[in-house]
Amino acid sequence: MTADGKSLIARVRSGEPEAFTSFVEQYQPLVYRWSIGLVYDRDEADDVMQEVFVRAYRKIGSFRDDGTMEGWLYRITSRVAGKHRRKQKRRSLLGELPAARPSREVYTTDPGGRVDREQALALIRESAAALSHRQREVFDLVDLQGYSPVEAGEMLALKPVSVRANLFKARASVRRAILTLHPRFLEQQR
Amino acid sequence: MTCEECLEAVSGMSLQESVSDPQIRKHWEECKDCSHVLTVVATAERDFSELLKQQSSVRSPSHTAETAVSRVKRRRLGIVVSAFLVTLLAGTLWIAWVRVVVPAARETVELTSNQHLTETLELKCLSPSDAGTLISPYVRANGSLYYLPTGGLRVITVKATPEEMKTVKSLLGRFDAAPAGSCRIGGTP
Repeated sequence: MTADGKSLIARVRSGEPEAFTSFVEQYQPLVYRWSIGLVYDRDEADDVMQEVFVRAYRKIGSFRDDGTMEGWLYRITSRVAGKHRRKQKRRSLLGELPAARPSREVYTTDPGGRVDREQALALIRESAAALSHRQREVFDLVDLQGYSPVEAGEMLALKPVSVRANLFKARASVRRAILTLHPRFLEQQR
Repeated sequence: MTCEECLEAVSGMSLQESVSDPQIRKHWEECKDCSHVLTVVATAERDFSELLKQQSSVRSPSHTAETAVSRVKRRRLGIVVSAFLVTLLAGTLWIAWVRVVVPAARETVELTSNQHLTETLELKCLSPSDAGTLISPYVRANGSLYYLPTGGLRVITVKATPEEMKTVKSLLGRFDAAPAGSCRIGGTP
């Protein structure tokens, strides 16, 4: 952690309101991105993010300077999102959001018309939503956000081998729907 | 490499790894179907990642920070208030116990133990007046008393609490139980 980061945390610990606002400004986009990757709903992600900062403010004294703030915040986010998911019996998926459509209107259509981009996105979204909490975390951190399995393991307090095992299962689940659109699979199904 | 082998390999690998694998890459270049499906997978994952990245919170950081601070303060206050209320409730219950429940229970016990019985006891050798003299110290309080019969009956009627009645019977048992003529105090048979 940088000297500025440590100084900011020290100021938050001492109870400076402006310091905590700076802290939130720095980490809010990241925490929101993690939250939405875990709950797939904008309103719920807002609630999760808010609760993460409530806990962070309350427990900032327990943060150890030898760890990374990202890892510490991610673990809080994961716990809050897990609790939130358990509480929500029915939740709207990302597909119901207006922003859930691909950013580009035009898309590379397959000459054979077998699968289009929007359909693939919908498939992957549905498959990812059906993953377990742990698999979703690993898939989101490594494949969607670009963290290495080692970094993801540190953030999740998991061994790299567990990260890889969860990642393998998550990828297989998420990609299965799209891979079965391959003509060979379609032929087998007939 | 067959299509099945290629898809099997790709299903659990990172897309970067699969692209850099020479066998997969070779198959990919030769097979349009696999190439297409893998492109779709890569595009879909990238789109999904972009989609999540594009989402931003509607809350401003300053609002988030203020809400967090106020919630923490409110929760701390809530804990203090809860602790105070629990203490208050415990104190109230203790006072109610000491001031109301215990005295009421004692009163009930006393009332139960002070309940008067009335019995007429037959005398074998003592005269009713001697028996009255004998038991009178024990049936003076708590509304207890005894009645002496008129007309020469050798009985005495006692109204007393169960404890007092027990004492009265014990006394009369000791001094009146003997056969006629052997009373220990000077009564006539």
